[in-house]
Amino acid sequence: MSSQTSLELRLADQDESVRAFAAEDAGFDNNVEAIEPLVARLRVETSRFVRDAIFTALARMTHATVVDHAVQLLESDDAFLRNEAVTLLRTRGQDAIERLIETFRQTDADVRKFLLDAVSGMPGQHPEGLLLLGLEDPDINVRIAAIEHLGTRVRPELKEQFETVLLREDDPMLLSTVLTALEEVGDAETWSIVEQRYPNPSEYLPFLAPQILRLMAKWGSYDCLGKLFAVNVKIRASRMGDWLDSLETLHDRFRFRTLSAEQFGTIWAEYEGSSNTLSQYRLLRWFGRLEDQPDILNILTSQLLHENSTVRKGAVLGIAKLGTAAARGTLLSHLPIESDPEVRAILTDNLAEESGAQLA
Amino acid sequence: MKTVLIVDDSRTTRNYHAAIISSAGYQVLTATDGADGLEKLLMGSCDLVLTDINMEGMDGYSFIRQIRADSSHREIPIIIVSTESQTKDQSKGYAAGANLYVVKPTQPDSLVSYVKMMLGDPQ
Amino acid sequence: MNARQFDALRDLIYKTLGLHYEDSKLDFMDKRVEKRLSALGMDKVDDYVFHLRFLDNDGVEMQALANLITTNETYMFREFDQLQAFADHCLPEAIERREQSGRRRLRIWSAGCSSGEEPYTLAIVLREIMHDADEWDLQIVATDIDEVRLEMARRAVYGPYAVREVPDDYAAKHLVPVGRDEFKIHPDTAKLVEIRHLNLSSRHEMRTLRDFDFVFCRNVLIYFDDVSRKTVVDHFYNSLNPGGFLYLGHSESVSRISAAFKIRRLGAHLVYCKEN
Repeated sequence: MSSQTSLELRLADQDESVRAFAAEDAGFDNNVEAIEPLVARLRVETSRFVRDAIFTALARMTHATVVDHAVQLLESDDAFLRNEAVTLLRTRGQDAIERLIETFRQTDADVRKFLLDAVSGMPGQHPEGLLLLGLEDPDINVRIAAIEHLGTRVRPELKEQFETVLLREDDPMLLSTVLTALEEVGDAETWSIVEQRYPNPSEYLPFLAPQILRLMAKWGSYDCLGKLFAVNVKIRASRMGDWLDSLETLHDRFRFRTLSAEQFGTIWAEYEGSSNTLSQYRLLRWFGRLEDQPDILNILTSQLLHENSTVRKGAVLGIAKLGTAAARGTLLSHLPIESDPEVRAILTDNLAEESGAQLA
Repeated sequence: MKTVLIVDDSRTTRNYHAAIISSAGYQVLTATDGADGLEKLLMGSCDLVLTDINMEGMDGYSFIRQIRADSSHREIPIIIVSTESQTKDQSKGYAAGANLYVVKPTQPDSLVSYVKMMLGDPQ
Repeated sequence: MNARQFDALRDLIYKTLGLHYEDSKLDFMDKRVEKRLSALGMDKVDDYVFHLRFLDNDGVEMQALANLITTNETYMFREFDQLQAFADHCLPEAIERREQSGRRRLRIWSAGCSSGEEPYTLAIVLREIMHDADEWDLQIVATDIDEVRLEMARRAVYGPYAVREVPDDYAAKHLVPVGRDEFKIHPDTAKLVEIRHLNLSSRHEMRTLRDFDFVFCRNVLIYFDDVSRKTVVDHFYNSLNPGGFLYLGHSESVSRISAAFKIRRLGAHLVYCKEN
C-alpha cells in the first residue's frame, strides 16, 4: 500500500486520535503528496481536535503548495478555516509574499483584509508592500486594517501618509486607527495638524481622546497643560489612566513645580470623587513632584490616614518625593502608627534611602 | 453599572469600542479571542457581549455557540460586529445565536444605541 | 512602563507564551523588563516591544523574558487554589464517572514532574479525599526528561522549603521525618506514584499514554515554541478519557494553545476538559 493510500485510510478512520496522528505524522514526514488529502479532509472533518492537528501539520510542512491551499481556504464559507488559514499564512513568511500580492489584486474586500491580517505579524520589509497597497484600497475596512498593521511597524517614513489620511477622512473608526498609528511615528508637526483639526479639548471625542492626549503630551508646548485641564470632565473620569499618563509626560518634559490654584482644585476634586484607588495612588505619588505647590505637604499628610492602604502608599511616595526635611519628619512620625506591612515597608525603604543608614 | 464584554483580536478596534461604550456609562471588559472571552464571561459578570467573527483560535460563531450552550448565559444579548457584510454572514450569525449583526466600521452613536436597546436602557 | 506599553507587551506575551497577566502586574512586569532593557543596552520600552514583535525570530528574547516572569521554584501544594478545584469538584466527578463505567480505576499524569513534589502532592490529595482509596486502582504517572530530577523524585525525600505549604494534618500522616530536617513521603502514599523518563516532544512515546482522568503539566509548556506546545497539548487530549481534565499553570491559557478542550466553571474555578 502506498503511503498516500495509508494516509487517506487513516484520515478516514472512525477514531479521531488515529486521524489526528495521521495528520501529525504527515506533518513530520513533510511529504508534498500529503498536502491535498490533508486539505481535503479539513473540509469535511467535524472534530476540532483533528482539524487543529491538520493545521499544525500543514504549518510544519515547507512546500510552497501549502500557501496555495491556504489562500484558497481564505474564501471558505467556514470561519474557522478562514481564520486558521490566516494563521497558517503568517507562518510562511517571505516565501508567501509574492503569491499573496498576486491574490490581493484579484480578490474581494473580505479576503483582501484577511491577507493583510496574515502578513501583519511577518517580520521584515516585504510584507509592507502589501500593507501599503491596502492603504489606498477602495474598501474602508481594508484601509483600516492596513493602517493598524502599518502603525504597529513604527515606520517614521509613513508619517506623512498617515497625516494625509487624518486630513482626508471622516470615518470615526478609521480616524481612531490612524491617530493610534500616529502616536508611534508622529512629531510636533503631527500635533499641530491634530490641534487644528480638534481645537477644543472639551469636545474631544471619547474614542479619539486618549490618542490626542498622548500626542499632545509628547509634542505639545507647555500651554497644552491648560488644554489637558480643559478636557471634558466625563472623558477625564473615564480615561483617567490616559489622562494621568499625559500629565506625567508633560511634567517630565517641562518640569513645572506647581499647578495653578484652579488646576489643582480640579485635580483635587477628581481625587476626592474617585473610587479608583489605583488612580488615587498615582495622583498622590505624582503630587510629590509639585515641590512649590502651596500647602502640598499638609495635603499629602492628610491622606496618610486614608482607610485604603494603596492610597496611603501613594501618599508616602508623594511625601518622600518632596525630599524636604519636613517631609522626612512627617514620614518618621507616621511610621509608628502605620499598621499595613506593605506601607510600612515603603516607609522604611524611603527613610533608609534618605539617610543612607539602617533604621533601628 | 452594567458590563459589556468586547471580544476582538484587533487592539485598535477593542480600544475604539471600549472608549465608546465606557463613555456611555458602562463598565467594559475586553478579550482578544473567543477563548479569552469565554473565560472572562464565565468568571465575571457581563450583561452583554460584543464580538468579532474572524479571530484566531476560537472564531466568533464557535464562541457564540458555546455561550448559548452554557445554561447561565443562554439569554445574554450578543451583538456581532464584523467586516463581512453579506446576507449569508448575517444569517449565520443569527443561526449561531446572536441577537444583532452590525457591519464595521461602526459609528459611535449607532453602537451606543444598539447596546442600550439590547440592554433595555433608555436611549 | 505605562499602561499602554504594558497592554501591548501583555498581548504579545499572551500570543507567544500563552500567559495571562492582570492589570495589577504592571509594576512586576516593569521591573523585569528593566532588566532585559539593561541586558540588551536599550532604554525604551517601546523599542523592546518592537524587538520582541518583529526582530525576535527564534524566540530567544521572549524566552529570556519568560525566565524572568515565571517562577521555577517547585514545592509541594503549589498553586493551592487549582488543587482545591481538583479536590472539590473535578476529582468527585471523575470518581463518579469511573464508578458508572464499572471500573474503580483512576489515573493521573504529572507531566514534567521534576523532583516529584507535584505527583506526591496529588497522591496525598487522593488519599485524603478518597476514603475508600484502598479499594481503587490508583495510579499517578510522573514523567520528566531530566534524569537527575527523576532520581530525586524516586528518593522521595524533601527539605523544609519543599514541604512548607503542606497542611499540618496532612504532613503528620504522609511525611515521615528523616535526618535532621528532612521528610520522606510515607510509603503508603508514595506507592501511588510511578516515576518514568519521558520526553514530551517524543511523539511516539507520548501516544502510548492513554486512559487518564487528569493531566497536570504546570509551568512546563512556556518553554516550548508555539507549534511544539500545540503538539504536546494534542497528545494530552489524546491521553485523556472523555470528560478528563487538563491542568496547566494558573496563568497559562489552555484555550490559547488548543480550542479542542472545553472550558467549564466549577465553583470559583475555570477548568478545561475533554468533551464527553
